[in-house]
Amino acid sequence: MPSVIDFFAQGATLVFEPLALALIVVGVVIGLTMGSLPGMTATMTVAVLVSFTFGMEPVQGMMLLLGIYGGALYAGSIPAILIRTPGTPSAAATVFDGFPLAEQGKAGRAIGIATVASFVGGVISVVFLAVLAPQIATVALAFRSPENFAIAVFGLTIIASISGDSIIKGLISGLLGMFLATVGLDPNLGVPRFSFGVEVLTAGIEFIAVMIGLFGIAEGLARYRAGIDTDSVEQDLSTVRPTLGDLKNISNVTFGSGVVGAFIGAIPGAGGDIASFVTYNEAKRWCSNAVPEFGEGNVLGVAAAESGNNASTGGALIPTLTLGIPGDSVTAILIGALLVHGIRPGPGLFESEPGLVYAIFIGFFLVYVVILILGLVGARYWARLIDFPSMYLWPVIFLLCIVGSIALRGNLLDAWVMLGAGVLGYFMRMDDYPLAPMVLGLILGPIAESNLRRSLQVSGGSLEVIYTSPIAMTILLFSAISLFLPVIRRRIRQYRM
Amino acid sequence: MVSRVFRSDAIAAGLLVALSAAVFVVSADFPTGRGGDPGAAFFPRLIAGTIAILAVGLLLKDLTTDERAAHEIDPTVVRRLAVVVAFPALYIFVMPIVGFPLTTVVFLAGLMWYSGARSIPIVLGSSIGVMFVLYYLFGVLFQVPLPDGLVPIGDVLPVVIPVGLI
Repeated sequence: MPSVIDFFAQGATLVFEPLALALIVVGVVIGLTMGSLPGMTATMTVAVLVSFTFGMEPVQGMMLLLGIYGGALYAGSIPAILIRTPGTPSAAATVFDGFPLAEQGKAGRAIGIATVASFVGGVISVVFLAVLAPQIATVALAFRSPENFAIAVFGLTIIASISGDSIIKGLISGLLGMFLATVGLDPNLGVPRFSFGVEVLTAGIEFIAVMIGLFGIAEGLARYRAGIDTDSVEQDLSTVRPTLGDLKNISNVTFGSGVVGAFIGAIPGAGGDIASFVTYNEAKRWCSNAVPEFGEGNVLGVAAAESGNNASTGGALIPTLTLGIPGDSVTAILIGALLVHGIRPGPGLFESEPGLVYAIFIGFFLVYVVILILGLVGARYWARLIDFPSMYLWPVIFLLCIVGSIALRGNLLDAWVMLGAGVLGYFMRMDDYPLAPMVLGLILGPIAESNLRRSLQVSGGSLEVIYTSPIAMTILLFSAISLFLPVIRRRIRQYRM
Repeated sequence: MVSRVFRSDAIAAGLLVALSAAVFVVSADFPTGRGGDPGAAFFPRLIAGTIAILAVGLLLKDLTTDERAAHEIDPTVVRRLAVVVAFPALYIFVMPIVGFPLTTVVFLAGLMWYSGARSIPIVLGSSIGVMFVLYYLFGVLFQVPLPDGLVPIGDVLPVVIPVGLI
């Protein structure tokens, strides 16, 4: 039986070849470029560019997407520090101390700290991923249909419950995604559902097209609604290399935030934004006597937020790879990219494609090495991108959305679906419906349906097969808790007040 | 003049209940399952039923709260968004007829211009450049069927590629 070392060797063989390595660098550069533009999220960038990977080998595609993911998440800190506008939502907590540092003329120092902290957080998360994921997958391999059904329900409820102010709207969004996923052939009987005689629809709605629309077009429409304009920046960024004193100063906070961030990232649906706010607040508590105070330009604040949000990336890959439940919106798209290649993430992946899994571990580590190098060497260049005029950018993004959707299956219907999803996503955003649960519904709906119906088939139509499974019942209990936790928490807060 | 739409939650609830009802009607003809399988209509109806219950919850919340969801509708913004949506819609409609190269350049240049870009050399140069890159990436490399239409770019590209322009 092959050992872990054999698996790492297999992964290394796939990663350490010129094209895969080049794609890591290209991915990081694209991620850095897009993340440096205010308001361009990592999710949107990955969604818009996922179509570039359809013609590649799965490992190569993953290297490109992981590079974009890590690069964009890190680069969000640059506009957050320079112009108080986070490039990605994950960098929102970086603003608190990053921008005051920039106001004091220390933007270079803040970006240097952010770069090192992002690297440390990212590497910690990769170690977590490589250590924990195979263990979880081994346990999950024993799951049968009832447990898999419970896992899908868990994924849906937890994401609906933490994705916004309104649980009802989060659940509706998730259920709409699940409904869209029922279009096409029935998984058990093979008959078309809701295809209305349209031949292309019998193959189902391509959920990547929906995601491209939700995260690309809807975001674009929101930008056009607000008005396309460009921010400008004037800062001295001649040096972004942190001093030894700064590195020593941030070491504990950076490491601690990395560990916390990786754990938070592993919770399905809790992405970099939640991780960075939690780690920032924890660091503020740990270092309550820090001078200057948090919020007035303390490098510890920048380090905590950036280590935390980048640490969430490896954490988010844990449920994605081991259970097939996306850890955040970006990993949902990664699942889509793998499905295009006929690879279904989940515990079976560790048996069927160990080379790919370990290549992802190694590749993601390399992504953070490249981020460290390019961040320290080129931060001043990425900073100039803030001035890039959006009027040229958004039309190109819209075009990429259309062409990317057509590239999925070579038909125009996917482009119409993408545009429809974009318009729907825009209205949902305007009315405070979170979009992430919809994507989750699209992914987890078919898993929930096929496993539930298979369970019922085995048991002759009795639900006994589910409630006699201790694992399934435990997972369903957690689902119920996750669903009601925000309500209980709100009640406790109201009671205390 | 800016107008306000109140009760957007109530409107959404109405639409969601209508969707749920439609799912029940359309799935009436779906075949039933064998053995313990509840059939093809079971899961969509389970989803639709839950959506309807949540929609009623949304409506009740809207009726009982003091702060109702409301949206301002500014005709200028509506017009702007309608034009921005019309661009990709027209592109998807026209591209198979006119072809990828011409439609793409017109789409990009048009939307850039509409977005406020006024430098003709930059608008045209970037539109044509992006079109070439995407045609090469998707049409040539990934073999996505992108019709040439009125501009036979497929005949030109093989000459361009060896020269190293793309």
